[in-house]
Amino acid sequence: MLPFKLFLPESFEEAIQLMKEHSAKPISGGTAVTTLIKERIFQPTAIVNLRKLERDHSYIREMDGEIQIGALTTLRTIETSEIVKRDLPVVADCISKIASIRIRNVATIGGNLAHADPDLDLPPVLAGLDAHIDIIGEEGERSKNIKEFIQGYYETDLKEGELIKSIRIPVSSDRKGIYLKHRALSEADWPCVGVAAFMDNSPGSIPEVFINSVADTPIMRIEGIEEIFSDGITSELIDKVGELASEQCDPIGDSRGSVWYKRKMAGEFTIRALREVTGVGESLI
Amino acid sequence: MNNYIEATIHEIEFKVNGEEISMTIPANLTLVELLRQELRLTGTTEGCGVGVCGCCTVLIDNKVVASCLELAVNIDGKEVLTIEGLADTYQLSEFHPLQTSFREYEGFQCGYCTPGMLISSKALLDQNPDPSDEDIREFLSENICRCTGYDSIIMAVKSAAKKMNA
Repeated sequence: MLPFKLFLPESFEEAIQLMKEHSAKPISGGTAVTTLIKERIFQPTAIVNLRKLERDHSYIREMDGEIQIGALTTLRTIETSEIVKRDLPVVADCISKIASIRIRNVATIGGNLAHADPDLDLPPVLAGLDAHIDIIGEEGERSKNIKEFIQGYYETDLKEGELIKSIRIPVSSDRKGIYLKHRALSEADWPCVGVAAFMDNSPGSIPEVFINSVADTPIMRIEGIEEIFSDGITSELIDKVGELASEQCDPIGDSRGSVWYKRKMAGEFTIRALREVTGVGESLI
Repeated sequence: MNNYIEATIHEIEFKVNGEEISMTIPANLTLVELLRQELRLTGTTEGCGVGVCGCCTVLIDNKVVASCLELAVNIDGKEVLTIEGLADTYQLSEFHPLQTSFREYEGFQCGYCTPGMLISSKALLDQNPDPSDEDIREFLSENICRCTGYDSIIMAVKSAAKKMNA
């Protein structure tokens, strides 16, 4: 790695100050950023390493109807948390599908979301659960829905000098969700395509589908599901939503599949996920 | 605030295989570089360098970590276990049961991935002293071996677990 200055603040305030003073970029677990630095895609002159904030900002708390997770909490801590397994099983399941245990032991949820890679597994699930990102900056704190937080290809709503402080995920026993990850290469690879489908238990509710890896953001919502399911849900209509997913996505061809293949898989996995959450048609997983 | 002036250099104190060490290191040093180049603990190997292959796996405070992606400054105040310290964790014997089992079952050929395999297997057995084939496959799924075809590794881990539970 090329040399860089590295600062080790112990609080968000100190970190924000250092980022400003040295035009430094933040790094949390570092499993993604270190790779970019090694490959010289990212050549920082100064880095603010947030690792020491772990002491105060690695936590999972039960709040009023939601679970708050500190930005420095590692993915493995979340995945193995009894609270998360009980109240947000789809989150625990999704995280267990990310990379390998030795990466999840280090990678943090704050770093994961701030990275905003279009292939990230978590954002479609957090979108389905309507999670909020709490942001801290020089001017104070603010909050943003995950769907507005991630804005494009590696782009978030974070302004210069802002950091993610925590993530709040509503808990609802009435909402059922599933995340299906299709890997084209190895078990711990990024998804070829990942589909999250969610649906409320209440009668007449319409499922929502979010897909990663097939657009410029990890949260591509399939539009037009309401019209298709307006008179009820049948497996023929689910197939139609699958076609819609194939049409609406805009993947790039790479080692995980051609554009044609990824479109096909986006449709197929949408059908599989919808059959699970709606209970309509035979299970395909 | 002194280290902010010379922020490219950091003082760290840590333990490797039980030994306390304090040293000054550059900020851009990775843990595997620290182990191999500075401490000459060359048992830990670096394969892909991007956290995928599992060769460089070490334990930091008993958790498996890819040492090629971990900045060395992050081990300040922590305890690292590498393959050189593995045997000492088991009744101060010459070899850890995992090491003898890997030899008995031919759980390696070229040996490059073996330190990472052994360290990951130790972490597995610490958490789960009697793992099923499926547990072993899952835990070692991101330790890549291009020689053995994995079956002998799984048999070796099972046999080590048996020895340790006896």
